[in-house]
Amino acid sequence: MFKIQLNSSDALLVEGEPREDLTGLKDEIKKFVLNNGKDPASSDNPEKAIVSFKTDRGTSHKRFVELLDIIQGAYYDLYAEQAGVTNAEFREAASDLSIASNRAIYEKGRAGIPLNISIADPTKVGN
Amino acid sequence: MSKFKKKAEVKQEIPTSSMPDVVFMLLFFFMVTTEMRETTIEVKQQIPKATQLRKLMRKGLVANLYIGEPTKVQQYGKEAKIQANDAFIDTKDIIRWVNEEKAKLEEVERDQLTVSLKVDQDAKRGIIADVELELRKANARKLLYSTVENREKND
Repeated sequence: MFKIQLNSSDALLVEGEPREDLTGLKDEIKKFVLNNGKDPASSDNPEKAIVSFKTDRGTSHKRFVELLDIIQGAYYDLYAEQAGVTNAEFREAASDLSIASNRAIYEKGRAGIPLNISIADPTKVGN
Repeated sequence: MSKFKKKAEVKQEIPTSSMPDVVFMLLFFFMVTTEMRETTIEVKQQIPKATQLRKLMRKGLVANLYIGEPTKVQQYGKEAKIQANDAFIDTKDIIRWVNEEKAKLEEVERDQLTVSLKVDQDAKRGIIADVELELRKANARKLLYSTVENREKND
């Protein structure tokens, strides 16, 4: 479980550590998902890896979207890599799954890596 | 037998031969000048930016909920509100709203209703979480946050 928390004043905690700079967070998430048991403190395999995203009732929507974008971006990067396309191409394909070739890319990319983002119910400090 | 015919009968009807022309002219006039009524959004809508977006293909299945601070602060206060179609609704009305939106769709597509949350960037997670809880209760499981593509930061 990779924990990301935002409090009511939009301050960020990553795995229990306060963080201000967002660069590198995406790579950390990718590394966490693809750990496959190498680091015992990290995930066992991509199917069990969960990115937990917890906010407060006072967290602004802007900050929430900013972080969610990074988490989703990490997953899309992994999918795109596995399917052998670029991130933008993967998202393009995923937008219309009624086309068979798009569906093939989508399924190839997602095989074995479920999008395990858990958005927890917000805590109640701010309003 | 008189030599003179009786006076010719005077026609009293109004000539109606041009009536269809008039009717069609009016019909076309209104067809051309009528505009479809669009929803006036009465909450602040500064949509946050993001990069990892996916396009929405089947727009017919999407219902919009607008969340943000009301634009008319004097009238409605500063508290963030939820707008559906043309009216503000309470969180407790969301279940009813979802059912109404579902009723507009074909029966086979009802469970595919997607709720698009258009949330102002300054709105708080609290109200959004309340909305999400109600949507879950109403069995509207497909949800998306509407965002604007941020082109400068694209990687």
